[in-house]
Amino acid sequence: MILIIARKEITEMLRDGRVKWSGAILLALLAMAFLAGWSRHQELSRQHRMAQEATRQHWLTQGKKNPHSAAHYGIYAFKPKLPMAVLDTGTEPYTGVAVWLEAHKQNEFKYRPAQDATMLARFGELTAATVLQLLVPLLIVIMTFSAFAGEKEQGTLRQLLSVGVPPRQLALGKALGLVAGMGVYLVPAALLGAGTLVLVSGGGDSAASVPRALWLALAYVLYFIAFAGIGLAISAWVKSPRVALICLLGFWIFNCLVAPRAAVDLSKRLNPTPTAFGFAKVMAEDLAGGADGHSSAGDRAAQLRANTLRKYGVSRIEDLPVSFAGISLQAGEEHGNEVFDKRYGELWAAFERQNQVRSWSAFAAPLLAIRPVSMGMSGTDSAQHRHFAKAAEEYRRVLNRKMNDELRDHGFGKDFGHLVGDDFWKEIPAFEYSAPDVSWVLANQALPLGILGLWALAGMAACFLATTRLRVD
Amino acid sequence: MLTHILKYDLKNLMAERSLQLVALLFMAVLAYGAWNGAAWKSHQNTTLESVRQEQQKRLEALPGRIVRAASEGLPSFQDPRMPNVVGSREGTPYLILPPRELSALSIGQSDLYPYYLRASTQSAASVMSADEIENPDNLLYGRFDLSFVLVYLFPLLILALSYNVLSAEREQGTLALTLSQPVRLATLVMGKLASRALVLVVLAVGLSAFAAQASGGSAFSTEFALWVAVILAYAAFWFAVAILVNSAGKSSAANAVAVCVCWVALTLIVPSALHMAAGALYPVPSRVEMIHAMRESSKEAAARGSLLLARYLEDHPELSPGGATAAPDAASRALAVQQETDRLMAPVLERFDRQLQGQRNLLDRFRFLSPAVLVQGAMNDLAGSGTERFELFRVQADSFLSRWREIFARKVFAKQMISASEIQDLPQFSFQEEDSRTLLLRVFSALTGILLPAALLLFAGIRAMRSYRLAT
Repeated sequence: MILIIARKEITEMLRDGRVKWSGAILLALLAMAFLAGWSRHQELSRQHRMAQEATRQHWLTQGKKNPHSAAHYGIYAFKPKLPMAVLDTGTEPYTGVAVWLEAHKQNEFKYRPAQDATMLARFGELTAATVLQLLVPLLIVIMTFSAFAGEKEQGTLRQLLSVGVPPRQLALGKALGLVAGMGVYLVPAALLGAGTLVLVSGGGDSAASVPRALWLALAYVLYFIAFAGIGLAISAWVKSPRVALICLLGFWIFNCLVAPRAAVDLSKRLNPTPTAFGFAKVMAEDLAGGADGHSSAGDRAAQLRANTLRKYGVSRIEDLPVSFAGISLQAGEEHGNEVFDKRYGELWAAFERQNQVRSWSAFAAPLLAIRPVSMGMSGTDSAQHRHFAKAAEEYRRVLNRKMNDELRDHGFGKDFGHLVGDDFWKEIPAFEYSAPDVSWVLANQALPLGILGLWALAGMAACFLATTRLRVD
Repeated sequence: MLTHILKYDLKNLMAERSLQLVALLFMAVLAYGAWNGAAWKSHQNTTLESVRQEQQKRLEALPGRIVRAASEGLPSFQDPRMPNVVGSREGTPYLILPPRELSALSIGQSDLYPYYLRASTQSAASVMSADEIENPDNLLYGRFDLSFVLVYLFPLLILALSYNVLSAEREQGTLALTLSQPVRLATLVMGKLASRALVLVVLAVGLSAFAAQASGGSAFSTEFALWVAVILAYAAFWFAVAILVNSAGKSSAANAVAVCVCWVALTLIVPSALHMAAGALYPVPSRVEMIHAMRESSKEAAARGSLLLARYLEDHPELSPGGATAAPDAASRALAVQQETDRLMAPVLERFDRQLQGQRNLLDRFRFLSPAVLVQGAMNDLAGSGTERFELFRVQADSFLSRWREIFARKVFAKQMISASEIQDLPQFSFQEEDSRTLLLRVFSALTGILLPAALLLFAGIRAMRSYRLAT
């Protein structure tokens, strides 16, 4: 019985011009998005490889100079793109692409790609994620709104129930038909996506993408289940297909348009973002004074002098067996690092709290749950941006320490006149970054993923409840 | 007859409660949008106020510090008499792009581009790469301001109230009855839509006016009049869409799907597809490449300018053998290298600008494909948060910065010190707003771009109604 109903549903759906056309357009958009994503990824990863090599080359061939001069010269760290980013560009248009790692200072990432685009960027990127998050639910709405309400209006529901079709079986059959109907579009979509991923990875690091891609697929399936369940439930609840459609479109509008932006402004009110001006000001004050707010630069210098003299058991700086400049620079670095940890820590914690507000708002709109999960699995969320930023900063600190240690140990008597050459530059390992694995991302996105699961359950439960109480009038 | 229909349809809508519901929803989202926009404007103003205060305090104290420095013997990198110290740190003014009157109405690009920059003798590229801090997620999701409500939600509400204006009457059987009276179908539709339009437009305009006034702007200005014109044109477009869809004579549910598809296509798909096309046709070279070029250029410049010592002395002039007297020399060598780097970088930056200009030209031509793009653009323009205004700011900042660099470069190379009396003569930046004619022209072309298709749709709809079948 269930199978008969399902077969009827899918035949009807596939004959429905609206479904056929919207599905075809969806697939075409997806194909376009994949194509564009693939070609952009090729170009960007080529540039990334080139820049990474060039910055290393610049470092290695900087010639004879003082280690501290080299630290000022610094290197650039370029954020790599995971192959998965083809599916969801996430925050990438709004996070800088590179950071300069130099002495004394933790820099901000610069050059947000959206700044180098027209205002159209603010309408959103046409990626697979956009299609899956915004348009597929719309297709589900179109596929489900008349499932029961339509039969009510045509009077066929009365017939069906009168011949003794159990409502539960009817619902199951319709759900099955819907799944099959969706499958007609989503299976090719998934295959397209997988194909693009393989192309993008070029057979190289595609293994790392597999668990990410699977979790991504699972998350989207949960999202679609939620929508399908709600669609069927509403269709069973209300009397006419018109009302069902209006309700479902209302929910779609709230979910896709109203909730995300409303949540952003809400999160900003609860946890304001500091201004660049204010941030630079407190940073400068901290660097001049102390992270704790009371020691001054003069105090710190005197303290360092005294400690160093005591450690080496001499009474004058000139008698030290090492270069005091190296020691002093390193002490400056460490003070700076303390300040950067504190202030960037605060800033990032504020961002994180804003993101948490949005995640909790996902109880009102499932888009707020799927979006962070999708970005997370694609490696384009702000948490993974910060993961890279932290790794780059870690490297900056190691680099500076090596430069200062070299100055301290071998710059005796020469201080800033101490020159080193290519052999020393080679000793410094290149900056290597590996993206966090899927479990790291999962731990980060546990809340939205959990809420997404609840949405899927709620969708199924609503469908179950609404259909068991299916009445003709 | 028209007013007759209007009156009775309004009564009908009131009784049905759907209008009240929609109006209430609309009012709520408009108010939330207006509130957010006003908060953003006041946040910008507060920030600019503290920026101005910091500058004023610093510049007022500077002449006194210069006088005292003569007897203090500070290391040259801290000496406020040194031109490189004044030009890069102590005497630098802020370049400010103040919010416009209506800026609370559309946040636009103002959260993406910096609206204040601190001048410096460093290269313009490095000054202008200073960004305002923002959570990237917030930039991605976008803000809930009045223009968002008007661009996205306003059409949806228009369509929600009008997608079944004919089909519902036909389905209820009242259409044949009404048309047995001496009234044309087109008149009936116009009357019914006019009542709906009245409510929505009054709310949109009223709350915009309120938002403008409450955020310290004025609702009695040319800009606001144009804002209203944009709202009216946009409403006309979407009502015309509804008329055309209704004239096809399909069922209410079919109409709902049709208007929904129109909305999705014009506000979601076309803009992002255009964005994709612009990026594909005029790919702006990634900044990764620019950084690479910058490093190459500075390396080349350094090789020519015996940079090592210069750079090093610039970083630590206090440790250089000659003390303060050698420092200006280091500064001038560093400056020479910087100028050479800027010179080498100019063609690279030009390529960026050219590609971006290509994208903008493409947008100028193809924005007519989506009324949503036209309206967002016009609203940003009127609120002063559009790309053009930020571009103008960038151009003006660039020319100010080169004047600023020139002043100090001359002094650095001449090894002149800055005197206390010179501080008040240092140039200050003040943004020159775009010629209002250019702005008007842009808004007018947007208005034409919305009204023309609206008229065509309306014409097609009214024509199609001639053969409208009352019975299915």
